[in-house]
Amino acid sequence: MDLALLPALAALAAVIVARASRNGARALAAAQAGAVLAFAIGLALAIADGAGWRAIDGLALALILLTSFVAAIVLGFSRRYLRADGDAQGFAMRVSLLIATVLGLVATGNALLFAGAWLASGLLLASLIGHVGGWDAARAARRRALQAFLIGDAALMAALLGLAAHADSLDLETMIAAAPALPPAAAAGVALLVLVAAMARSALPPFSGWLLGSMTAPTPVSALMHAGLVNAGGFLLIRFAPVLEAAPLVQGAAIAAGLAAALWGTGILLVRPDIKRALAGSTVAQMGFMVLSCGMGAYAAALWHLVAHGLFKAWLFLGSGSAIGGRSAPALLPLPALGIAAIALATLAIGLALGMMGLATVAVLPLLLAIATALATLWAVAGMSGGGRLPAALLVGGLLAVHAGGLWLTSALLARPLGEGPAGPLVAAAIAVPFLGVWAWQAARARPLPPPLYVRLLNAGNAR
Amino acid sequence: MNVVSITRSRPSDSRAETELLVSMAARTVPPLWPLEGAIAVNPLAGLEHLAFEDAVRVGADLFGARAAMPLAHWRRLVGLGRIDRAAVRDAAIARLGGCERAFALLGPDVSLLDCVLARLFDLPAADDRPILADRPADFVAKWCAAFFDTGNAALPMPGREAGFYHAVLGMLPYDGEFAALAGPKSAAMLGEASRDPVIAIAEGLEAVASDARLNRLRQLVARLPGWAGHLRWRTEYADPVASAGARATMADLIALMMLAEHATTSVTPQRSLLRPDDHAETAAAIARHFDFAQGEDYPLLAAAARLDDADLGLIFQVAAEHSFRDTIVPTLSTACTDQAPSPSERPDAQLVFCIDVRSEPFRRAIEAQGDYETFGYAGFFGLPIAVHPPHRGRVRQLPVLVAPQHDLALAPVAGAEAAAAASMRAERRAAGACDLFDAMKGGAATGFATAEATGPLGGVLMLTKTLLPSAAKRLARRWSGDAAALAPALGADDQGCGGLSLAEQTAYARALFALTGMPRAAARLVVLAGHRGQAVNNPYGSALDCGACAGNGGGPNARALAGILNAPAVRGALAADGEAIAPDCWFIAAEHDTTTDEVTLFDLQLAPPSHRAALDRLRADLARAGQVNRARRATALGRAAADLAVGAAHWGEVRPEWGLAGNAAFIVGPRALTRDVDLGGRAFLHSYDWRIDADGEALATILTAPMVVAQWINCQYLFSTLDNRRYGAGDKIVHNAVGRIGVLRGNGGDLCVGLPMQSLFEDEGAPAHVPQRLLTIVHAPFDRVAAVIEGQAVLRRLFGNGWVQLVTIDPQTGAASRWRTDAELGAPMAFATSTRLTFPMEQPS
Repeated sequence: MDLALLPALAALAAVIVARASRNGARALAAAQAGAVLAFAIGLALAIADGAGWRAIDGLALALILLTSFVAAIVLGFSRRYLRADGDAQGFAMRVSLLIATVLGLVATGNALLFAGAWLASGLLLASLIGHVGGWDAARAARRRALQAFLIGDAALMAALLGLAAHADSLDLETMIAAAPALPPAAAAGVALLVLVAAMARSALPPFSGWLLGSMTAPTPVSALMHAGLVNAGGFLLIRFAPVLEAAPLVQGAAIAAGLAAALWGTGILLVRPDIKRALAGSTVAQMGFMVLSCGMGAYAAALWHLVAHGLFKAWLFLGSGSAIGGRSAPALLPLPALGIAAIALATLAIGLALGMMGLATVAVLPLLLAIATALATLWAVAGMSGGGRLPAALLVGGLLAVHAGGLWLTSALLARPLGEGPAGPLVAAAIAVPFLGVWAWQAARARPLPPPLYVRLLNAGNAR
Repeated sequence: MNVVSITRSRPSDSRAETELLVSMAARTVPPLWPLEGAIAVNPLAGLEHLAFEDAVRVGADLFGARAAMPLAHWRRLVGLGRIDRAAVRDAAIARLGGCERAFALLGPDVSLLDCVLARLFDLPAADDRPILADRPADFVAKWCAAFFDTGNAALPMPGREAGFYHAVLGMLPYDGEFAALAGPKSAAMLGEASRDPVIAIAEGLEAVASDARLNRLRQLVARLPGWAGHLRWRTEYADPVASAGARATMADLIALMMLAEHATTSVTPQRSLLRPDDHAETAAAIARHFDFAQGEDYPLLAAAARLDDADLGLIFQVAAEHSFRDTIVPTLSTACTDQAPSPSERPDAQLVFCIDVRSEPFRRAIEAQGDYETFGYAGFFGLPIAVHPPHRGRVRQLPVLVAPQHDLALAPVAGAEAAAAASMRAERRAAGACDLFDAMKGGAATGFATAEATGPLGGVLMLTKTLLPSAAKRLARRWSGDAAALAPALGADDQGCGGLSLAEQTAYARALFALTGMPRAAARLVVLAGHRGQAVNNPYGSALDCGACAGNGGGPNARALAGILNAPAVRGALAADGEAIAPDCWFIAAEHDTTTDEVTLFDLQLAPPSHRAALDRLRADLARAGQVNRARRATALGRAAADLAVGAAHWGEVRPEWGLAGNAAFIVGPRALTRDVDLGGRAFLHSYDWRIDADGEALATILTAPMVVAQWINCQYLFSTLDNRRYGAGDKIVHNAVGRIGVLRGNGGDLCVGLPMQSLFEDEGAPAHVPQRLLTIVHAPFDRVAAVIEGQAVLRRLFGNGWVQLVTIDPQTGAASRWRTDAELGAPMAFATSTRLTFPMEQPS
């Protein structure tokens, strides 16, 4: 028995208890207990792992802890939030089952179980998007998600089939390890299929419509979806890294798709008048950044991004009911043009210097953007009025330390924190240019968006 | 002059005519206040000129709404014993026109009444029809959201300064959805569309018969009641700053609706939910139910089958109304004539609460704790003010129909200057942190590292908010400092706040005594208690606050009036009237938290030392009263009493309290009338002494201001329950906050109006609020009430059209008289011919 599957079993047991419960409230409590148990088992496995018993793979561990933590909170939230829901019991069962599938697919080494859990998670997610009955918009959103998943899932199944046939094994590890021996064309084909599967689940364009149009889902489902389910794409790319590395062209495609999604999603976030679609736009951007990092081979950075963003987005979604009412007068001075230019140029200079000195790795892009963020934050804090400067600076320092600690942790968790990118670190550093350029345009608040772009961003995710 | 020029109206005429039609059509929907200060309105306010029954039907047709609550809900209420079955029977008899007709037999042992009762209770009810998408309306709603956004989007819609219609027209050439809607003709349509919305509307109306034009415009407005209502708020009720730089008129909205509808190639779905005439089917179902022989002719069967959804719903509703009335009115009549032991000469304290229905049980609870006398007064305490918190916009603290007369700055209270400064610093810190977080998470270069750096912090916050909500709230409070250290300053300041002159202060002080009948020789302590609710992460949180304070807490008004009444100059002026406030009387402001039943007393440091002991005792008694009321409310909520405080702090709680659910009566009179009656939190109580109101002026004020607010609330609850998806806001779990002003359902569509499902229905789905019209009971001689009504058009309309039922109780005899509606009198000028009716009445005979 694979110990790593224990958390999934805990969630599965919760499904059974929820089914036997007398009412929705008890079913939700049971589901929450299952998630807490899964998290506890995950912690125990982590401790065992730290003590030297290799009980679980680091990537699986990170995702088990993230998923069960967010699930426990989301279900705790739901115990009040869904108090008047006519089908709270069914909701609890489906959510528990969904969690079980996610915990299962990240932990299993068996290709069949993996494929089954992957397919089931898509179906369950779609059914939760359509949770509210008698509403054609919810039915349509469910259908859109199923359509996107159909394409992605078909691609993944084909890739698995190819890899299994090639390796003559159903053991995922063996299948993936054998990938580099594929003929180049076949390797590229399989890698492309994996990329398409990842893009569909992580809602990268052209697949982002299902996520952007999924606001018919109850808020807790959105939180779980944005914190857990969309990460499946990132997980896939890290897990199947050797497959992608065997096809540098596909890695390049991942970088391109990720970059496009990162900027496109940011645009959606900036123009949407409703809080949930704006958050979904942000998720598209963040998932794009994650895929971009994977494409460059910065796996540890991608994993940390996946975990931290999961917490970030679940927090914002559950708190989305607070986006009402006027705000206080601005307390922050806008960055002056000089400051914007200085930050952008300093960031690029650091990137260049690191590259020239041979210190840059494939993970240089996340590092550079973190530097730019820190500089912009400190500049803003320095310009803050009142006595809040010191606490703000301390808070920012603390957050930076947590960020660095998280990166260190995921680097330690992964067997290969850094992979091989399709291009050198200098090219990786150069990808910072479009990010910094758009940011400089934004920060300078020079002029409104051109109408054609504005309308496209506003409409992104609307059903045709 | 030739013939042609006479028959063709000049453009300016048609323009003026169209503008008039637009302004009339705008009244189809009531204004919709942003959720920051949610205000209850009657969704059918535009139909109040019709009798209630007719308005329900017209509204159903116009808004695509139900004409009655689903029968299943009514049946459930009867099953739960909340509506008396016998009362339903009586109401059915009345609706059928009396006993003779009701008991007419169709067949052996089966009367017409039996057939109707079978329809009410036994025959399968028609299913809920799913709400179908309205594509043109959803399309316009998308642009409404983009245009009316007040800060959710970091990048606003381009071109807003050109006005709503022009800005959207500027975008449409690039809008793929418009192209999809209009098909190949879209470019041509945009090219032809008039740049002037009024002309565009006039052109669109050319093909419509002139007597059908208004109706056509009303139908267009009714397809987006949320956004149209927001637009009305924005243009008619908001401060100019709300629409600065982005003008929008109803003509803009109607012109866009016309354009979208004209563009739409597909057929608009059937909107009316009134069931088509399937009388034959219904008749067959009744016949099957009673095993009538086939082929025989039952002429009366058609009469039973002809009743539509609205009729059936009204039978239940009238039953609920009558059984409530027939219970409460005789009790009050008795209390009126009973020589109740008069309250002590000088009670330990007098407490003035808001008329809100949630005050009633609390008042009973505090009265039980000692020698306390309570009063009911509108929760803004008669002060038409707006307050100015530092670094925030102006906050109106008065009923929404009244424009603020005075602007007061929120300034540090004497003795709390340090706390005030700390709280202002904390506010700036929090604002800075929010601004920084928003700027960083939306930056193309900064958004990713921001998510990574703050994610773990978010994880910790989620954990505390879910597991330790009360601790999280306390911590947040400690960080934000003591906001109560700031209070409305009565003087003028240099920021443009005019303050209140001595004459004005004295006038507002007088009004308290005149309207409530409270004697000026008051107790040693007089508490002015405003109220507010508590909710976290809840878009509808302000719906739990004081409606008379524009959806805000009433604390600032209570503090301002307490300050006025404690001022020696004001007391001097009042003494000059001939009746002085007792010199040892101290007014203290308070705020009743209706979610947790805790009462905060303000500005204790200002109270004279001589009153400290009495204040301590009062505080302990308030805490005990809170405990009693909390236990009562916990039962109604189906939760443990301790859980109420947790819910008030929990970010996932969708029903922190029941709000004003159950509201049914508005009682104007002295407390003696109601003191011994448990009204179950269903009544607005306004104190009133007819003896000191010889000219009826105070009564006129009470009936035209607080009672109208109560009627809005009552109608909001009634219609939100009747059709929660159309007149209400639907299920909270799919709400999506938009523009920082309201919520959408899911991905888009109209702005939600009314109240969400969780505020009106119990967890198991039964309505917690019984839809019934407000019953106003006035303790005053009938003739005096009639005189007041004759002088007020709004009262003639509300009582005459049956939107509010009126009963007067004669102070001398205790005799109850009911005001008859126009329909009952068969005369449009009912007020002139209304006569007394003694209770009980309308016994079927």
